[in-house]
Amino acid sequence: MNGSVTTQGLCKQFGGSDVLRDISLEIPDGTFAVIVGPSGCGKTTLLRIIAGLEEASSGDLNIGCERVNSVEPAKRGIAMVFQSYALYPHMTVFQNMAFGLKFLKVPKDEVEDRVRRAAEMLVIDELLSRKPASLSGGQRQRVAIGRAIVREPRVFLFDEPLSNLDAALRVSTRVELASLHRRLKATMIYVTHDQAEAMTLAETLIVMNEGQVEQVGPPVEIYRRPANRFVAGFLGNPGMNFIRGKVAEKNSAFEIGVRPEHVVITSESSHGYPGHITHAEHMGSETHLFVDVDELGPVTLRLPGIYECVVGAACRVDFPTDSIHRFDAEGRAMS
Amino acid sequence: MALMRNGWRSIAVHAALLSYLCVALLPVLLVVMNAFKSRKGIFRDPLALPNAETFSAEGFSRVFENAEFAYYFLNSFIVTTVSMLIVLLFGAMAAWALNAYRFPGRTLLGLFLVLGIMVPIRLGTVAILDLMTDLGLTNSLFALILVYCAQGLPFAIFILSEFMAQIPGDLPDAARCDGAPEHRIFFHIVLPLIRPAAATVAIFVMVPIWNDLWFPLILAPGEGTRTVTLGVQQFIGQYVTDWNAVLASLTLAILPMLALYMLLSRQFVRALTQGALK
Repeated sequence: MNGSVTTQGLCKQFGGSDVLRDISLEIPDGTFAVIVGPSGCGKTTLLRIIAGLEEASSGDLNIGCERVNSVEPAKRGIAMVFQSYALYPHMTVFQNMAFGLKFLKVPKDEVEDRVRRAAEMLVIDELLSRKPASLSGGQRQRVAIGRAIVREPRVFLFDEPLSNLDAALRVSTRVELASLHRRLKATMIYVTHDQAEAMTLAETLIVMNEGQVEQVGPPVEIYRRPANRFVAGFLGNPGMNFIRGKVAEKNSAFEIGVRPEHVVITSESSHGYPGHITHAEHMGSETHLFVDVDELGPVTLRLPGIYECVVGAACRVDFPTDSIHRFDAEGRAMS
Repeated sequence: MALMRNGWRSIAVHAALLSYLCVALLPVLLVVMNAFKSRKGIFRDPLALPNAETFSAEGFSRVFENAEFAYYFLNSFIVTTVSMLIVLLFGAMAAWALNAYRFPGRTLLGLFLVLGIMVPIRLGTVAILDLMTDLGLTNSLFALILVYCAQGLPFAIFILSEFMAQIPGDLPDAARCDGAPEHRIFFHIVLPLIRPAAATVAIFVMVPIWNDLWFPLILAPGEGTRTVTLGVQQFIGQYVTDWNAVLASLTLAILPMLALYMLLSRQFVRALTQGALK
């Protein structure tokens, strides 16, 4: 049961436009891979191609050691959890979870057994005789995951599964998904536009933009060393500060980027750049400070704790040189 | 103020609906009322309710005495239900294909199938009769069923595909991931979800078929294939019309439709209150 997923030069054209361009990925067996990118970047299309719900225009797709380009979804050893959950409205929770097992020719008592085990794992065993309409969003989410688990797939595919949940439930389900992955040890491919989900869940993070893979790697590594300006700006909240002009030239780059947490307020008048505070967001645990710096333009700072300040007050900001990300005119990171 | 205006508007809407209801019900009421009156009672005062003096069930007894009438009912029943089942099944299949699959000429095919709503099938009567004669299908229930399928399908496809457009695309995709073959997706996922629409379509398709006089008269006027509406004609003579029997048989003919309507509308309401899709 090898659940590695590899793609080679995968392309998808749709109505004359390129949705996916030359996607080559290697996702080893048992990895939790997260595909992240802005909406419309082709990440859902890529997932649907892996699932077999859409066909690639060219390129190869392998699951395990098998080329599965033209294999039916159900024979690929995958299970998919949809953004809308896609529960069958006229079936009970039990029937929803057992529906796919009918076609796998699983004997009846084993169906019962598998559904019960999955339901216990997800704490939905009380709901088995209910219909989806009478469940809350979080419960429907669990049923959808349960329906995937009972199939015992090699690869789980998640299409923005948490985007319909409220914020608190999203965080707790995120933790549960991570522990589910530890328990099942199957490959999981997870599509999201939420970078908190991407950073916290991923073992391998795949950043996509405009139908292309921008960077692949462990999330912390990508955060520390983004390959280009897009990745640098996409990950991190608040986003990276980008500075052009003289200061960039002084660092022999077309553009430099500094993360908000690396910018500091300095009291020494010999260091840093003068500016004035335009706005402050107090998050409690940290403060986002917006400063208009004369030489740099608007700069965002992320300061720990509650930072007392007056809007309009003058201040000086500075950042250490080793925290600078340098980019060339094409937006590529310079070493 | 707004409440007042809304109040008036709702009164106006209800008044309009109620007056329409009266107009629609009056002929039915007249038929049923007079079916229970003696011949004299019918002619003396057609608008009066049956009373002790005018009450009579002679029309019904004459209809029941007529052994063929059971066959007429059976013919009507066969033609109507078989046509309806075929229209529902193939209409739903066509609507699903037009909705769920992308293929060249899809829009054109959809338009072509729906065109039948705009062109009354009776315009083609002569050609249809020619065709049926050539095929040797005159005086057969099968001829009627074929014509009624052609008559009902455009409407069924139109309504059902409007409804199927609301089925989220993720549902069949989820079923595909579950390994369900396409025909299972149609029968186990799609059909249960469109039940309310199917009930509506069934009612709208069945009633005109049951009530039709035109095609039975032209295509199947033979003794063995007469439908109820045609059978009633035997009580209408050139010189004498047995109004009691005519009204009694029409009253009887209303009953099956009424029963089916009640059955299906209950299903309709139940499906709606269950929240079919969300």
